[in-house]
Amino acid sequence: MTKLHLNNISKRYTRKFIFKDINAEVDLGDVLVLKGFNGSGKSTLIKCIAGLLPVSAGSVEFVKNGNKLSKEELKLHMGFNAPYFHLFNELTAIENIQVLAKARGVSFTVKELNVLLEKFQLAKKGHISIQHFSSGMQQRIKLLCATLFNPSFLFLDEPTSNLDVYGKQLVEALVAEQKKMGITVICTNEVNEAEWGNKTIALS
Amino acid sequence: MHYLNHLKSILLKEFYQERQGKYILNSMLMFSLLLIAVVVFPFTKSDIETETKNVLYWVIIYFSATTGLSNTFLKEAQKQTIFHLKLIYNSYVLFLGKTIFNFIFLMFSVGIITLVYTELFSFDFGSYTSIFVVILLTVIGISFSGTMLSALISQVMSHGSLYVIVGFPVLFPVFLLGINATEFIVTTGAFPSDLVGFIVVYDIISISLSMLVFEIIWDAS
Repeated sequence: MTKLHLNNISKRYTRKFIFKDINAEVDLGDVLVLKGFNGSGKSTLIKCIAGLLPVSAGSVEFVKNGNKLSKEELKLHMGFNAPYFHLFNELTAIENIQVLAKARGVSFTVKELNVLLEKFQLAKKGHISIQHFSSGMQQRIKLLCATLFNPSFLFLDEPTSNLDVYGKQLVEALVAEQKKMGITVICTNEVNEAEWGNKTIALS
Repeated sequence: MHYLNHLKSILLKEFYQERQGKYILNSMLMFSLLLIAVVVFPFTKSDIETETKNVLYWVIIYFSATTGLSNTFLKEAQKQTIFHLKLIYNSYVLFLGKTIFNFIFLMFSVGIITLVYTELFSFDFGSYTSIFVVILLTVIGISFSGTMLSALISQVMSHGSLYVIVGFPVLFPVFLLGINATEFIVTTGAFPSDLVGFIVVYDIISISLSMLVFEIIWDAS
């Protein structure tokens, strides 16, 4: 059983509320879409849900196999990607993957790495420092890292930004794949991306 | 096991970044060698007394440490990798990993400084075992306090010029103890038990406070 509960969460800076009393029940296979105009607080909300920002009121609960996850446990089950989220740019694509893998105590063979890079259309780019990647390629390697360990909770803020048509298809395929494994939360202004979701929070 | 994996991952990441950017090596070691050169040129060996040589030795280590350690968290803030680090690592292990990495580089840098300095100034430490213990314990204290200060400064402003100023009152006590302990060894040849005891106390306070304060700083970032 995998669940995400948002219980009356609010966020405010000084006296101004960015959002107030947000509630949601998200289950395995659900895709929660956060919609709203620029500056409506979508990114703040996704950061609050993912635990990157503290909420001003309310609570966020992650449940995996019937157990409520602690902040530390959540790190093992979460993937995150956003435009303001950066990998270690001096490192190559493979080194970035290796650092993540080392933190989980796993290692990949060369063959497995090549399959992964191929899937994200980064074949033969593994040994290039990602600071030399185009913005689209950087988005692909960030998506690869976010989905590397088949996370139960996947957070995607503007997931198709900077991507070409093949990249957008890749993201759609990733979201479809994620439905079988866990919960997806997407922040978007794109109408077609909003259609991937079965639950929506609209911020004004 | 889970935290040990985090620690290994942080050290691997730091090693990769250092190999690529040579942040610490360039700032710490090159700055130290430059300082030694600046100190050597105006004086001849006979101009400087042993006490002065000893103080100069620690001044070079101080500037080397502050220059190198200030970048520890500043580079993460500048490269906007804070969220990435927060998503992967436990905050205590992250701090410990970065401190261990800084400790290794600082020890390496101090080793090079010591070799060059003793050669150029014909500076005889007397007991090398005693001086090694003093340096080791002092560098442990500097590494913990320095890494914590780097995290603090990275939240306050976007450049590290404040580091030397803020770092002075925090790091000064341990440097003063290092200077006195070295002088004791050089002049008497004996082991400075009392001073080493004080350095150990500084290290314990430094480790405890750094670990406590770091989580607050990290959560606020």
